[in-house]
Amino acid sequence: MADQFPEIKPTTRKFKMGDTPSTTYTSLSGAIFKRSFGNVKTNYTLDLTFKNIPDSTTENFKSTEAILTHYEGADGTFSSFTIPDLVFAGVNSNVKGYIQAPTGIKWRYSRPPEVQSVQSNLSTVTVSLIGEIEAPQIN
Amino acid sequence: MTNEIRLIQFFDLTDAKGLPYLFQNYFIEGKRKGNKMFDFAPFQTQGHVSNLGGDNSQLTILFPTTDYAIRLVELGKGNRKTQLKLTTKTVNKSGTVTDQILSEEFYIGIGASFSESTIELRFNTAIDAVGSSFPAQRLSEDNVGILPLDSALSLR
Repeated sequence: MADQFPEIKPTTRKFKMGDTPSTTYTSLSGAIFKRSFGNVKTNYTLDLTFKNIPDSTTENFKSTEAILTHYEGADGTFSSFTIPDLVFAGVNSNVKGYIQAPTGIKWRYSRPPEVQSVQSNLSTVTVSLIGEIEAPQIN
Repeated sequence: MTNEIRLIQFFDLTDAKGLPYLFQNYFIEGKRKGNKMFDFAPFQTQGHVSNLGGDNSQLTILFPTTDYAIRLVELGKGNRKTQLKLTTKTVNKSGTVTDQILSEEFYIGIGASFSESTIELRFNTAIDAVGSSFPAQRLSEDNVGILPLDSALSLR
C-alpha cells in the first residue's frame, strides 16, 4: 500500500457511491431476477479538483509536485492508499462516513492526474480516484 | 416485479495430506459455517454438467492467480490428489445464510491450468453412473474391486 494522499483541501469534490456487485436477468415475461455476488459495495468514485495551486511545495502549502510525487509513489494506478480527512473538509461527519470509511475500501487512482497550467507557478490539478474492495490476505 | 437472489458457495478442499482449505465467495469478512471458518476467496465455478448417460459432472473453479491459489494447486500435487465438497446456499436479505442447501456435491481433483491472471482447478465427480443399462446399484469395493478415481471405468 502506498503512502496517504497529500493533505490538500480540494476546490471541488464529486463523489459517487459504490454498488453491490450483481447481475440482472430479464425474462420474456418481463419479470426481473437479480443475483447478488457479494455483501459489500464497491467501485466508489471520488473526483477532486485543486484549482490554482503552486507547482512547488512551500512550508505551508502542498502543491502539484506533492500530488505528482504521490502518484509516482503509488505506482500510478496500481497501488492503493488512504485519503486524509482534510480532503473531506466541510463535509458533514455522517456523510463523510459513507465516503471515507466504507468497510474494506481502498482508494487508488483511476487515471493519471491531469495538470493544467494557469500561469507561472500555478496549476489546476484534477484527480480521479476509485474506491475498491481489497480481499483480506489469506495465510 | 423483481426477484432477488443471493447465493453463496462454500469451498471445502482436502489436499494430498488430508489438510482442509475452506473458502466462500460472498462475505468479504469471512463466514463461519458450523464450527469451521471460511475465508473469503474470489472464486467462481463453471461447467457443472449433468447428462442422461450418467452424472459425470465436471467442474472448473477459477481463482485469480494469487499466492494462496498457487498453494492450493501445489498442495494438491497439481490438483490431482484433492477432494472437494462444494455447497451452494442462499443468503437472506439480512445477510444470514439459510439452512436450505441448494446443492452439495463431492468432487475429486483431475488437474489444473495456469495463466498470468487466473488459475483453473478442474474437478470431476467421485463416482459416476457407468451407463444407462447398468443396474442401479451402488458401486463399492465389494462388487467392483478397487474403486476408480474418475469416470474412466472399463467393464469387462
